[in-house]
Amino acid sequence: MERNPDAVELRLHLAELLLADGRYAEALSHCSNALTQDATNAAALTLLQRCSAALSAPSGENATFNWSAAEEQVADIIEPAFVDDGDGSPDVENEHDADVLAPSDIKLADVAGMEDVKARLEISLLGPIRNPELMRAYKVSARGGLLLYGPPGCGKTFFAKAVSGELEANFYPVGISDVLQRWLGGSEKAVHDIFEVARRNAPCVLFFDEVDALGMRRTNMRGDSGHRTVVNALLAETDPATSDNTGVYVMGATNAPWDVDSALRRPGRFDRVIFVGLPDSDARAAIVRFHLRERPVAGIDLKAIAARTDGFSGADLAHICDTATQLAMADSVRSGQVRPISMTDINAAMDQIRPSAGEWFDIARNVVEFGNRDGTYDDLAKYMRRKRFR
Amino acid sequence: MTSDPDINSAEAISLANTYADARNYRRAEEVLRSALVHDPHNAGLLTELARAQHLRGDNAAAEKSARDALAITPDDAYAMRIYASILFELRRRREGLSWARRAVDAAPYDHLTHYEYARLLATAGDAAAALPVATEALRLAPASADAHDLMGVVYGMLGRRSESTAEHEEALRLEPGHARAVANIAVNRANSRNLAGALAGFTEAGRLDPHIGDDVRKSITATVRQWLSWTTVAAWAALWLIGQIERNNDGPTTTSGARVIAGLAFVVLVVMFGWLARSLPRNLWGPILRQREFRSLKIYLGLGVVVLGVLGAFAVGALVNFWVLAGTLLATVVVSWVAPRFDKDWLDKVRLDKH
Repeated sequence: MERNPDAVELRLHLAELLLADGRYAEALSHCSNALTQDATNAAALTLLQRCSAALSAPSGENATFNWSAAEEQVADIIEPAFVDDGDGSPDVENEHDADVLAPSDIKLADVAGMEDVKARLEISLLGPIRNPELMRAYKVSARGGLLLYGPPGCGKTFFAKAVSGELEANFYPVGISDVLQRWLGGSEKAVHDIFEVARRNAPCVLFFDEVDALGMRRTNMRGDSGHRTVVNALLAETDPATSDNTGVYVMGATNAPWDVDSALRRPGRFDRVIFVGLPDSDARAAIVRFHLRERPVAGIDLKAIAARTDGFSGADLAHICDTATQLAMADSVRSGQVRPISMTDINAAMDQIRPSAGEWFDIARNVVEFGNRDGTYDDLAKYMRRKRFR
Repeated sequence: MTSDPDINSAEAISLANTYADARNYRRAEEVLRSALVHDPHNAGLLTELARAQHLRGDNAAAEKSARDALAITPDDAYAMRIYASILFELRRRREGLSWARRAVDAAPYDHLTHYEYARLLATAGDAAAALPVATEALRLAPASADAHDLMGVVYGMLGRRSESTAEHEEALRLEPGHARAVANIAVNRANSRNLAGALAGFTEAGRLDPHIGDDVRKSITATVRQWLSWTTVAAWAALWLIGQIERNNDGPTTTSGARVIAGLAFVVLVVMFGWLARSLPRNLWGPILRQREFRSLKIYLGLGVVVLGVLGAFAVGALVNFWVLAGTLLATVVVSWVAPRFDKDWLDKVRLDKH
């Protein structure tokens, strides 16, 4: 190799041998060198992937390390890594339920910023549930569902998981494809089964995503839509007079609460709504940190990014991180040297990406102007005034 | 659970239609695209993809998808109908109408093909041609609120206003939340100079369906402008007359009768402005006045002239001929009430947008 450094085939053969010998870093270096000479060499790219995979896998030494013995040694000092049968962990009734239920270990404290939303969740849901005596004293009920709404990609699902974590309840996320069935009566049965699973595994946060599609206004549906029955089934399952949902906390998320059937917004159903706006500065910094956490980075100024991304949704920020990563990767492939993601890449990505929530706020503006006579969207109106969206 | 598993084409279409009904066209498109990965030559998926793209506003992509669908199933009336609508949006109106006609021929008993053809004809301004097609759509689907609403639009364009309103009201009876029918009734009211009723109707339509809020805001703007424009014109005329009298008169001629008439005119003007203000919810005044149509200095100048004219009747009476001033102020009121409408064209156009 020293005599003929440009021989790509030879270099790749050497890399293969080094890889087989477990000398991954050296093999990686040869792969990078080969790619410098021919960036499209498929064999080099395959080898590079194998090297990267091998490097990220646990080493032989680690594999033989006795973790159980080590855990026992330090059991008095640190908490166990995983709790299998802890008291706080919700029980799952049967194996099938375990497939759909996901205990959440996220707490509200894990959500950076967004203090308004946390406070509203505390007041309207968590506080009453944690203080049953107070509820009895004030003659209030925690029954009924909570609907989180706001622009897309702003962490509504994450908040629902955090609520689940706070309540130490099972988390049962339900999407529209879980409900819609082709056959007559199938969708109603699916809704019933979902509630049965949640009841069986109480305490459980039953989280319906995209409620606007699932429980859309019946006037929005086409005449031949078999979807009407889904709304009726949802109404029946959430009717406090006919269904005992003790321990089942029904939550929903939607981008368009104004398109949700009004019957689903009546007392006992999704009767409380909380607006989840665009991430604030702290939240934006945390989101960027989260999306870059397992990537090679250097010199990332989170404060500067947060300052420049006012008006961006969580999804937009993820897009920025992905784009910056691609830029750094493309540069690495060109140069043959692995280079960490830097502020230059982030800035270039921010120049390319525009906030995506504008369209949502256009509709929200119409709602605030024409459809807020009862004050349902006062929070949204205040937010839009504060952010100068109106 | 929330992620979509590999679903078959029929399920994908059903799911995509649900998203489209919920106006989440982007998600509908995603579902269809992922199904097309497994079944790339499925005409049904391609047609629905074209529809989702069209509804999302990406008509260039929609045109390609619809063409691909029609290449597989050239006799599919549904695909033809979607394609016609797409071409129309791409300003290829003649082609669009031709495809809509072909869809009618391919499925003469499907009321939606007639409906779409009539809608495109009406949008093209050919209400006379649209009338028999819309009638046929209604004959095939007498319980369709959309068909009644379209019939009302066509009647409205033909100047048959009472029949138009009756059709829109029938649409509302069949579907009480039909926002566009409410808006179209309001258009008829505006064209009948029932401006308070029109404003109430537009506001209600915006409440029923925030997605048509932009059109509603523009319709309200047109209605308010309709009122203000003629008041402004008349006020300018009054000011010009006052100027002429002032220039030609040797001395002031004031009478108590002139003062009474001027005062009466002032009261009527104030009542009319107050009535207009009350007809529109307070929170809408800001957004309406921020509309582009109100960024015209002449409107504010005109309003200023009205105020000047009224002040002239009382405060600077010594300078003008009060009989003429009083008469012109009254004329201001009369003209503003009975004058033809500047904004009729806009209001008629609103009827058809995004049906």
